[in-house]
Amino acid sequence: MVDRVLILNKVISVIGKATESSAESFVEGIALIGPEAALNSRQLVEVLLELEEFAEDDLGVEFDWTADSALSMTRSIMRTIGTLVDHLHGLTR
Amino acid sequence: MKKLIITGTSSGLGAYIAEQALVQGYHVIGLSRTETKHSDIDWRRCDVADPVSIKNAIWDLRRDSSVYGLINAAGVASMNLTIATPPETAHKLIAINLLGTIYCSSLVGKWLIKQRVGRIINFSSLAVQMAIKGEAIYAASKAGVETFSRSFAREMGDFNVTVNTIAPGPIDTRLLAKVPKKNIEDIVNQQLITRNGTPEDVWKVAKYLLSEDSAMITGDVFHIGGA
Repeated sequence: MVDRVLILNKVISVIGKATESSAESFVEGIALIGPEAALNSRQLVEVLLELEEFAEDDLGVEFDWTADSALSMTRSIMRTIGTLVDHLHGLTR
Repeated sequence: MKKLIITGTSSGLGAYIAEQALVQGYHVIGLSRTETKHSDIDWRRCDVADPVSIKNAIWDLRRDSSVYGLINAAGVASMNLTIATPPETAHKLIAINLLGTIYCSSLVGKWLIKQRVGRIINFSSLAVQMAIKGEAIYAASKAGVETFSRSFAREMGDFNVTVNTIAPGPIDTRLLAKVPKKNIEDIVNQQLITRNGTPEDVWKVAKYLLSEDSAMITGDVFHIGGA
């Protein structure tokens, strides 16, 4: 299984790039969707597309983020940085 | 060389558009259930009503930065009173005309977002505006395409990908072969320009929508013949 920290660092780095912000300002609890989201919808799409390639190239798994619950604030894997990392990490098991 | 993915290339408007796109210098990837018999078209067998079939057909293009556009030309028609239309036919019309457009747009749209430029052209019909008797289900499927395209254009606008719809009146293709001549005449007489459209009329609009000149045109419906 891939180290979760490696995935976390990658996710934070991609979000930092998309938002043109310092990666240090992002922690696991930061929301990715909803009114408190750190990203707008364009930035979120950019992040997910880059993570799709990361998952295929570096983790060897397919990251399919299409889901009825994609934008649900209670069920989405994209609720926070942490839930997104958990999902990617789970794919590698 | 820019690559265009065109659905419905085995016959009709899709075949004509694919040929013209080749002449224009595009590399054409043609998708259809039956073979597209043109040696310069990169044909892949595909049923657009089936998302798995679409993915299998074009997944190899997901990292190809030369993919520039998608033309959803695959379509089926059925002229019949709604109360005489079998549910299977209604399902097929919606699945191919509407869901096929959505499935292809969703998959290829993702790739175009990465390029930060691209064109998606969908097909509707003047039947939507005219509310023609005997075309309720067909028109419903195409009205869905128009509404989908307008909203999808907004979703893609952030990434300089335009989404437009061409809505022709009757065009001389195989799709019309089974429709009685009188019915065609009645429809053409309701158009603002009362003559049968040609595949060339449609291509001229498609060519413009593919060009750099249309970079700020999105979410629109272009009625061929006027409605």
